Amino acid sequence: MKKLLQISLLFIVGLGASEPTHFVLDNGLKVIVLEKHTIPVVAVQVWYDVGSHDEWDGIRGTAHLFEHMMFRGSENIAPEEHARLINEVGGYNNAFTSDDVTVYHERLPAGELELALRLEAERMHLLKMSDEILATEREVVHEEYRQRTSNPIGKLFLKFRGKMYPEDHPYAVTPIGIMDQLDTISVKTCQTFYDLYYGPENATLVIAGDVDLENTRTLVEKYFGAVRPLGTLPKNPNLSVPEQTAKVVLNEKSSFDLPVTMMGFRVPGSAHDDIAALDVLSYILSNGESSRLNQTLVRDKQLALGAGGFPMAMKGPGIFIYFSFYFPQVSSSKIENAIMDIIEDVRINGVTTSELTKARKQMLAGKVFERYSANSLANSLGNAELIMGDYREFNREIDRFNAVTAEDVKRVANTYFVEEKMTIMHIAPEDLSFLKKCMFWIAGLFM
Amino acid sequence: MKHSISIITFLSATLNAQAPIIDYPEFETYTLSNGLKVMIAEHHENPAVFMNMMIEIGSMDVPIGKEGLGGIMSELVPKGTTAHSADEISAMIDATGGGIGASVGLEYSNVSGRFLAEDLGFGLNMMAELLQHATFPEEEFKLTMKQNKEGIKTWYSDPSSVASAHGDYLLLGETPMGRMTTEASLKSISLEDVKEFYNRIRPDISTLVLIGDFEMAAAKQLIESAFGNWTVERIKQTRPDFGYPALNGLKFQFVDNPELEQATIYILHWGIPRKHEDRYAIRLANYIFGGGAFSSRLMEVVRGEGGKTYGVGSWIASRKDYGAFGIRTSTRNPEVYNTYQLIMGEIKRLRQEGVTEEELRKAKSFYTGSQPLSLESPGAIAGNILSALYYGFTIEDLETSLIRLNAVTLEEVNDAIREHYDEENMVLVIVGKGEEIKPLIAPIGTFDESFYKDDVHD
Repeated sequence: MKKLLQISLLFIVGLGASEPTHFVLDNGLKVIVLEKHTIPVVAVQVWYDVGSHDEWDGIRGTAHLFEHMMFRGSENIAPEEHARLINEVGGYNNAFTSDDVTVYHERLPAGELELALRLEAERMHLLKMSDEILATEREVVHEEYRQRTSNPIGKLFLKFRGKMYPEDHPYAVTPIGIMDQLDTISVKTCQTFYDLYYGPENATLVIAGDVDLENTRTLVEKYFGAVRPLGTLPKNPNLSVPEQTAKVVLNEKSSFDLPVTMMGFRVPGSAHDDIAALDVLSYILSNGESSRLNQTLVRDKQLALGAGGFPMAMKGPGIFIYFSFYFPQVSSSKIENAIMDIIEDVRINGVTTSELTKARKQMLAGKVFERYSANSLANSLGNAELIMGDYREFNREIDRFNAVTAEDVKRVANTYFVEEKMTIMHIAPEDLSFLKKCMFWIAGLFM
Repeated sequence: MKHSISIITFLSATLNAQAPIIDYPEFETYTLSNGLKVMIAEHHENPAVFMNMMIEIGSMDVPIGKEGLGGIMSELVPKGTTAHSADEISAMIDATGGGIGASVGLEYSNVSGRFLAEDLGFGLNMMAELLQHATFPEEEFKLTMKQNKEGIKTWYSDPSSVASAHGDYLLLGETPMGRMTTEASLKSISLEDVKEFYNRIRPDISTLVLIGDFEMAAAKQLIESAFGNWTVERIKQTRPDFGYPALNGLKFQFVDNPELEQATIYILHWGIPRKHEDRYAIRLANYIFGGGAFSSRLMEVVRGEGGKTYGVGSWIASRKDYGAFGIRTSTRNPEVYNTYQLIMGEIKRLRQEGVTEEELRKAKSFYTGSQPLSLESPGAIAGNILSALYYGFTIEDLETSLIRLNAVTLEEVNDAIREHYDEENMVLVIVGKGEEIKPLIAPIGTFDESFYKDDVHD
């Protein structure tokens, strides 16, 4: 433990990287800066506090469609010119829309920081939209949706994700939206969305890399200082969700030739005190070959080809998802029971000291490896600020993680990972012949 | 603070005259008595270490009919050694928070590990143990084969993988590069085959790159201790000359998947080998044509103007003895023909009109500026070096590559385009819903047809 703390301290102090700091412009734009002088690279990210959860019925998919529009020209920048200018200096840029946020990001040579700031400031307040461009981007989003759903499991995952929340909850529709509604979104709707959410006081600018704080402050002032604040921000939607009291079971068929089971448990938002213990539990259940899920389902019982899990951290109630794809002769109930037995064991017997130690070290190592990349650092800082509520959680995360006890893990397993709070989807291959089914049924008796 | 990787950039406005030099970390290179080449460099940014081993054996060396042997071997290596069981190995590695991964590529294999600095000794010893003392227990072989035989049935869920598999076979044919792993090829693999393939891994065909937070002398001792006793009888290994038959006209395969609302278009033709004299010219041309994401012509025309796709791109794959040039996109079913035509129109325009001075300037500027971005992680540095070494380049070549790239003239690029791009002799694969798109693609030419779940070859 002592050794771990020493590494933790070294990691936090860092070599070639400073502590993150911040300043706020008069118009409300919060700027987080982390200096890292090991290689001449900078990551610039603008995190807007708007995501698909801010949409309302009738315009589902607007946040994401609008993200596309942000690349399609502003007063002084031609359509797609933003991306081309970044490429021209050797940089990359893109964006993503989640349930909670919309993030625009650039990775580029450190000497080109000013270019990224100029371009991001420009589209924060001088965006131009037209019917023609909206029509094109709408088609592009349709293609994105088709691409995601061309994989049968990918298609069903969208359905599963939606079922994790009540139908009227802001998270019930994923950011890709509802295609029928997408077709009705007009330039006027996009303009309304822009006017409501795209302003300095609703954004956080994160800059990580080979930059100097004072010079960065001067450049940010130069380009973002003139951006007018929105004035009033819309009220955040109510993300609370009634406690789930009954297990939800979904049975699906697909053309995928292996059966798949996904199960999800709702957990609190990322700022909640229980999240650290849930994260530790997640590491123990599903991180690595020796994690409990893989060890039991793939190695010991030899029921599955693969088993794993991942947390979907959200500002509001998040989800922990576990999944397995398994041999056709194994029944879905056998898989479900095997996973629930693993969880039940944690609920009754807790986790071991060595599992706790391993989880802590895995987390620490992950953080160390992350520090080579300016973009990853910016991403973690933005996530800490907007999803967890404070960018300083970026450094506190390790301490919070290390403070989790075996008792904490047992408690959160008993609080959140219970059967009546579970949503489960079993996906069966659809074209098994009768003969094959009989063979698998017989084979299953011996597994 | 001094940059551990510094880019000495002269004014970008004068790029063509004075290109930058990329300054890689200073590596010490030496060879162990058993022939293992070692390259080692200190890198103290974070308390971590990165180790990459390149072994000059790949799936090109697998006999025809036993496709998948490399993957099975690499899966089985950590499933038991003379000292530890599979479960002990995974538990020990996971306990460090680091990891070791292995992949058998077409031309060479790679074993890579990353660990916290305090686990350098463990990482090296574990890598050495896996490379020298794997035991391949029979029960692990049976389980791995069972998993793979089921898993192989799912590859066709991804239309892009289906297109690649057909395209590779049409271009490369009955070679290990053209053929894919099938249920039949897996069935033909025995435990003896796996052991025999493993025994071809030897120190004298391997290079270890170690970079990270350590003291050089101590790290060298650890390397000697881990790998110094690695002795295997040297076997002269030759790789057959596969022969790369020229394409003569259009080879067109349609693959029917009735569930799809989107058609995948995949175009492939011969390109240039890695050391070809036109490599910089073609690299620049590809960026302008389809490799430069939103800065590319294909993206502008197919996505930006018509909204016909979410993404379209081209790439060059250059191997030691051959190269390929490819284009991939997907589009809604009714637009499949129009999208294909747009792409073909751009190839023709590229060949007829070439690229402009301004496009070339931007492409050079991109590659010049992007260099530091590819060198943020020591793992990436190690990967770059090993790839370069395999193809016969040196670190100095890497450091000065931008000078050569920036020296390429417009005339050289356009000559290379005319010589190496081809709109007539190529492979075309379209994966989509036959009922809707077959009538649309008929004007392109005669095609062979298959079902998406069918094997690509016998």
